[in-house]
Amino acid sequence: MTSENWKKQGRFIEIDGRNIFVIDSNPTNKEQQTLVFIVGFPLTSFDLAYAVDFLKDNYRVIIHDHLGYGFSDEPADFSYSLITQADQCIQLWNKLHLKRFSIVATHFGAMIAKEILYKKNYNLIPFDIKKIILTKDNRGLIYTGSEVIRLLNENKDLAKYKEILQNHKEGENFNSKEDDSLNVKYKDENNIANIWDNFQSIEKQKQILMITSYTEEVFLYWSRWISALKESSIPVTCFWRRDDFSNIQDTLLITSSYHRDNVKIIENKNCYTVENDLKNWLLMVLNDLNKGIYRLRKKEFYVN
Amino acid sequence: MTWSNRLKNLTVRNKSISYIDTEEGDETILFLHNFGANSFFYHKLIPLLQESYRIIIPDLIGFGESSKPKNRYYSAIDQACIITELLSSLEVESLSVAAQGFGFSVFDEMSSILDFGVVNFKLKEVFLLNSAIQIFASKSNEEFEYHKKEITISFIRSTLSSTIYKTEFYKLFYKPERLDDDDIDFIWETIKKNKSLKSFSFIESFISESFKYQKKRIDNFKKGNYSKYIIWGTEDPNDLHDNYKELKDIFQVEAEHCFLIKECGSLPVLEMPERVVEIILNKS
Repeated sequence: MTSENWKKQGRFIEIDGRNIFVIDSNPTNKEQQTLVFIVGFPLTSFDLAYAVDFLKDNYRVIIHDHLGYGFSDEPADFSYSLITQADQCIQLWNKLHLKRFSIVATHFGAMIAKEILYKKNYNLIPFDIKKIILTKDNRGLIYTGSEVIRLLNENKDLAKYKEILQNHKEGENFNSKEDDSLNVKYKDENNIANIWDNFQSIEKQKQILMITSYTEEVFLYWSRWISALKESSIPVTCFWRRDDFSNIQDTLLITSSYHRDNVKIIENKNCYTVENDLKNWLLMVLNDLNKGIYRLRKKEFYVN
Repeated sequence: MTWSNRLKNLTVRNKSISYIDTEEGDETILFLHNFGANSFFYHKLIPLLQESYRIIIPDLIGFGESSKPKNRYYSAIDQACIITELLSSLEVESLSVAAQGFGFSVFDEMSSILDFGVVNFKLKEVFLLNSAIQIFASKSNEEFEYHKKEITISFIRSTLSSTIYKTEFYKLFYKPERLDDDDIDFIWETIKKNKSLKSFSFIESFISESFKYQKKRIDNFKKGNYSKYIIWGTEDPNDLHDNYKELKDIFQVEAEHCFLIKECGSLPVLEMPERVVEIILNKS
């Protein structure tokens, strides 16, 4: 499917004068259960086009592009924070007249889902949420080097690193004779050159700002989102992978708390992500969502 | 009646929240205090205003006599959830709000909650009191970082001892003699006694949050479906560039709704309570 076809399948819904692109696989069928996907940086709804196709016989699937992503508007006067994105989701679902649904969230969408869960715990939103599935795939495999940039940016001193990289370009730094692990990292010429190139493009600079700002928010609202899980009034499943340090940290925190009746922690043993194996990732999610549908679809999947 | 006698208490979501509620009155007004303040800062307004309004002044979580969360920043959205529940428990249906600084952030998050359509209060009039305008008016990241550092340093320094606290506190006034000595002693004692100092150390988180959400807050305020007023002491020591002159443009408030109080510092509710009440009651 091309992105233009994808665009044709969806529609635009206006919230506060801004257009949000949304796919609603079956708006008229009231019989089907509803499944809402919340994607997050660096994904857009189009990355999950196959998922909508795969699930639409069993579910009414809803997926949208957050403001600033995909086909949605990119207003200059909008605060692109995770909390405002969560508020936008709520207003969008209100406009779609959704009442009862499950949520599958991935990447930074997982943070948005946690914020929605927090509000749900406080009965502030008008939805009956059946279940929330979180797969926190922060490691953007399709973005070479963006992980390195993210790590650099967690130090918040972008300017400082720019200087280091500039020096590197001019060959003044990294001439240390000591071959400890730190220096080896800086001697990876290709990697540094790659990062430097990334810094030069406006697109990448925007991304860096976005990730820095998200990281800051994760820090600011960390207790809030952990307590959302701890106090959850609805069932939540968290998939974790051993190749992603950040979600191991979260998992440890949740398991160390004593209220976890509603939170199920499952290891994603094969480390499926939307990017590396969407089909198996979907089956994994489906297995947790509905065993019956899972078995059926798994058979088809392997027969084909 | 003294401030301590007026304080009531309610447990919301395992958090004990203390608040003042005068209970009587057809119209209700809610005061939301700034970071580091508490309901005591508004005590001078009560006798002047209680004939006309039912007055509700909560101590935000982390301040005054309310619960003090351990080792975490209790953000504006967290506060908004608690205050919303408090108002539901007090069976408030329509209200006016007067908010200052952190309180304004809390108010903004409350209005976002109202947008979801589950909680229903009718917002009538909203009064914005002196807030850290230099944060809202920061044009660049560098400028913001500078203000953040300035505010953080003076804030953290003020918690070191009562003498420093008083010195820093007096700076907020145009005429420090307008503040009773007993009042400032009492404020320091309240802060110290209740471990509020711990919450003070999260000032940096508060400033980051304010900066991150400034667009959203201003946007929401502009499109808000209620009457908007600004009550502002012009001698705010932190407002180095006289940003207050741009207030009505920044927040898009009609000129006749923008009340600048001359010869008054950044705490008009303590420095010139009579004037504040006059504005709230007569809008003139």
